[in-house]
Amino acid sequence: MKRFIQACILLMSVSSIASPASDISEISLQELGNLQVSLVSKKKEKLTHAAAAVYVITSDDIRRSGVTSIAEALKLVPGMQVARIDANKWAVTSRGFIGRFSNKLLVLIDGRSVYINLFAGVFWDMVDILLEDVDRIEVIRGPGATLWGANAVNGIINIVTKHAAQTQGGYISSGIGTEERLFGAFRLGKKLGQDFNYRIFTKYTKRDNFVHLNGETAADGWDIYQLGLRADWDRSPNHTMSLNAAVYHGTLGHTLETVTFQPPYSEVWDYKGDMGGWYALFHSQYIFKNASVLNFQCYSDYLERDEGTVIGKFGSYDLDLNYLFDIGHYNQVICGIGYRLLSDKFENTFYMNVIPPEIRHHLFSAFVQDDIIIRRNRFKITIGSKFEHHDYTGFEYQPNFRFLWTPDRMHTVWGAVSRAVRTPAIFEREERSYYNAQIVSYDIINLPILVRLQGNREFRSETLLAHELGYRYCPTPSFLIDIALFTNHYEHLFAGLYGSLSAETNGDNTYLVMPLLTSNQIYGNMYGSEILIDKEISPHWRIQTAYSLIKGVMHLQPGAVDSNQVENIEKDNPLHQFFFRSSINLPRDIELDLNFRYMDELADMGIPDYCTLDIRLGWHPTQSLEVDIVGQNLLHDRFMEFIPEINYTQHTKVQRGVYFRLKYKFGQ
Amino acid sequence: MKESSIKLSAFLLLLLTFFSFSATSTRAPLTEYEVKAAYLYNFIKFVQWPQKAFSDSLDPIVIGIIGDDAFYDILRVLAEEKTVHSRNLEIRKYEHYEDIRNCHVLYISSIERRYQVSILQRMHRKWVLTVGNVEYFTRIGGIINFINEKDHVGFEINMTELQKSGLEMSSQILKLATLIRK
Repeated sequence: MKRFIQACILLMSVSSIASPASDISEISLQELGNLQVSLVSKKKEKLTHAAAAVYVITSDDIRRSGVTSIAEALKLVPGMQVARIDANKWAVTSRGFIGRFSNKLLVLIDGRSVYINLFAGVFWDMVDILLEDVDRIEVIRGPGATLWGANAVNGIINIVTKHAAQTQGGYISSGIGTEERLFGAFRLGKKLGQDFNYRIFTKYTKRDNFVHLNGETAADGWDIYQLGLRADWDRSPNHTMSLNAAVYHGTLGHTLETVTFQPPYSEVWDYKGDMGGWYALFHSQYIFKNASVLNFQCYSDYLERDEGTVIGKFGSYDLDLNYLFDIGHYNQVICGIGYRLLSDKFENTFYMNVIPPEIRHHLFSAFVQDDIIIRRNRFKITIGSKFEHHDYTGFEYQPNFRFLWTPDRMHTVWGAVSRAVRTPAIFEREERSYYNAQIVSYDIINLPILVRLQGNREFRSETLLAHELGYRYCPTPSFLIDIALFTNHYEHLFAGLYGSLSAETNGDNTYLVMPLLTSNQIYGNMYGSEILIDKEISPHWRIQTAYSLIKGVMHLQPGAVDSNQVENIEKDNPLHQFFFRSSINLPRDIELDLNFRYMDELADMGIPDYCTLDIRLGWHPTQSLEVDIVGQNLLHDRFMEFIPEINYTQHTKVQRGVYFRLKYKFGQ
Repeated sequence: MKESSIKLSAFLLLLLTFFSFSATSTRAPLTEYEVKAAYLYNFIKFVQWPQKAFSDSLDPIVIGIIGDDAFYDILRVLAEEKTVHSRNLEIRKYEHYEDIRNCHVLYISSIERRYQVSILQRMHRKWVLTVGNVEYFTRIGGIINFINEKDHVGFEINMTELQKSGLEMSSQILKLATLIRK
């Protein structure tokens, strides 16, 4: 350890032979090109001008963390809660309400929403883009509904891929490992004429099974392959167009626990199903002489998924137009309109029934937002609102007010008050739709009782009124402290409400049905804070430390029947979360990265607190070749991160994993 | 994991964090801004403006900056002490893109793409060396663009735009740059 510290101090002192600003003119051009510098300012710039709790994961962060999926990459964000349920399912949220279907988080890839309307959640295993093509992942904790629309209640994740001009030449990567069994990717970027760039890529990933709680190998292994392209046509500096499209297919396994009429009334079985889909997104931007901008975007996204009990086809078709312009020197206005058609189709099973099995929804939206500069570079306020019309809930409004105060270059203070809504999912709203969750039996009644989750016409949107306050201290480009505080007041939160018993027969079986209707009976507050310290100690060494706190106090509405859902929400929050990252460049082009995470207990589901550690060792023998070895979840042989809220799929234990990877660039 | 060991590891990490902060109270390495300012100074040294670009021989070389405050401060210190091509350097900061006029070098940074495009479209670009700091800068008509490569700063030059500007650039710069023809 002592020698390590000495080595680090040596590293730091070597890099600090530079001179003060006044004689930088003495440095020759050649020397400048060889100087090692901290290249963090771009990211910081973005942060210091935002009146929201923004965090940016850069492509370099992704590369150095050794993560292999978008969901895992989100573990790098302070305050984000990411837990793995089984090998192919994740629970991801920000600021509370974690669940497999964390319905208050909006996820966009290049402006395409991957939020699924059936459960109001995301199939994280299908968010399978080539990580090397990601330019950045912008994460906003807190509501962003004014710009992004409904369901951007607790956070927005905006994944932005690189312009095709940035991915010219060939790229190939391949790896093997214990959990990341086998993966490979190939990309080819070309230029047609002067202004047209494109890339095509293909990737394949096969992941191993985790283990069941009893130690046996689970059946949750999965694989997915994808073929995609991006084309960018810069017709002129003023007019740019891009097309993103891909088709993908995979198989996913899991262990199902479903109801049956024979004692013990539940059966456990393994299932392997198919998933697949395609998408195509077109975006066009026109910049006028006066710097106003017109953006047009349209996309189609279609996916199919067979989980054994739930089989569905989900389509969304979207049109968006927005216009950004200045009024004088002090007002920047953005306004837009949008239309989305959601078309879902279900194959009903005994377990899950959606009626009607084909559902179409139309979503109309419009928004306007004004950034008003009160004093240039010092004080800015933002006001705006989104207006939406959803078939289920009618008209919704989602306004926000924000301010940004930068008394000087080092300090930034921001605050916001905003309202956001989470619109009902199909299963919450369609009253003839249900999910047969559980069968219970009592000795005194000789019929089994089937607990059935059932939709409810009365179910309305959940609403949030959020108050946020933030402070950033950035004395030098290589040092940042970022603090965000929030109190979120929720109304009409989802709760199950027991309906009246009725008898039903299915074949030879007669049983009683106890409906558990969706209702809006919970209200309450969630409050907390997120703190990030990001420090570039030298051009060779960067560390990040983050801590976050979250606590919920929920209540049942008067007259409501007590259920344990209040406790669920309150206790299934990690009160404390902590992470530490260190990225060191060692001599001989070796990189050493360390990610440590502490997650507090999820008391109601009974997940004890845990620590995890990932270590990556990377080496660049030449400019175009990178070799790395990554150890994931090194502190435990196996451990449990999460138990899903609807337990039809069984959770498994995450296993320690090691993988080895080669990346090669050519023909640039 | 036991609670005590978690606390211990958290404590150790905190200690490490604060240790590393104090370890840097010595001299800091050059920042990205300083390196880019030094580059800019060198660009000016190796670019030849025609006489017509100045009203008389006492006219300073005007360096216009939009967007980046930190950059402005560093350059101002430099400009006070230096002359290039036996002319003084004058640094001007523009608050708004419509204010830009009559400069010999224009450094554009940290402003939205739409303003960058608009500036390059509206301005009279003859004899103006435009320098930018975003990946797309040379695609929208800029001449020199800084590129961040792993842990150092390099730059690219759009030769087509350079020729259009009527400026002459020494091969000393060109040989260090990534050259783009568009």
